[in-house]
Amino acid sequence: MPCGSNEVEHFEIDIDENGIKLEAHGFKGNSCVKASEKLEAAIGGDTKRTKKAAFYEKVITPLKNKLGGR
Amino acid sequence: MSHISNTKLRLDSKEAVVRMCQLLPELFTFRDRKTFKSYGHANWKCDFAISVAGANYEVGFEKQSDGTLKPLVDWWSSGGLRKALDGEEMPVLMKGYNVAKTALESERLGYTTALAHMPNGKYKMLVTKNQNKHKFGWKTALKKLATGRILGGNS
Repeated sequence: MPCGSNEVEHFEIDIDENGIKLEAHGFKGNSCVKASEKLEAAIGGDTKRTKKAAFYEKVITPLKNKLGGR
Repeated sequence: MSHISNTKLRLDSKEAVVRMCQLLPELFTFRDRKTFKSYGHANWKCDFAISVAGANYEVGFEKQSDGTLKPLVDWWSSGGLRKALDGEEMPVLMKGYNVAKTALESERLGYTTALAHMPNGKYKMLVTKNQNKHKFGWKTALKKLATGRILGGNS
C-alpha cells in the first residue's frame, strides 16, 4: 500500500549488496517525502527517487456553489 | 503521495561494521586490532578487522583519505574468503554492511526497526516511530516479514 493509506506510518526497506530500496507506507500528505528524505540523508550514499503514480494523483475537492446567486 | 528511492551506500563507517557483527553474529565477528590474518598466518596491518564464518583468513579495513574504508582481503584459496564472501565483489559483506548502516541510522533518528532475511536472499527491514501508539498497525506491518527468518532489530 502506498503513502496515505490507513496503515501505521512505516518504511519498508529491501536491502541487498547493491544498496537499499526504501518505500514509505501509511504517511499522510507531504510528511511521506519529508520523512523519507530525512532517513535517506542519514543513511547517506547516492539516492535516486522514483515517484509512483499515486504521487501525481490530484486531490479533487468538491465545490459548494449556491444555485441562483450572482 | 508515494515514492520509492534507491540508494547505493558508501563503505565508510566503522560503527556500521561493528553493528553488522552484532546484527549478524552467525556471519561476522569484529576484531578491534590493527592486524588481520592472511596467508601463512601473517598478520598484515589494518585499522580494524573482521572474521568471516567459514574462512580461515580475516578481512582488514583501511581508512582512506576520502573517508571510505578499503577492505583488505587475501583471496588465496586456502583462506576461504572467496567462498565465504561469495566472490571478490563480496556481496555477503556489502549486504551485511548495508543492513547495519540502515539499522544504525534509523535507530539514531529514533525509529524502531525489525529485520528479516527473506527467501530471495535479500534482507527486509521495517522502520517506524509509531509502534506503541498504533501497536495493532505495527503488528500488521510485521506480517510482511513472516515469510523470512526474523533476525530481530530493536522493536
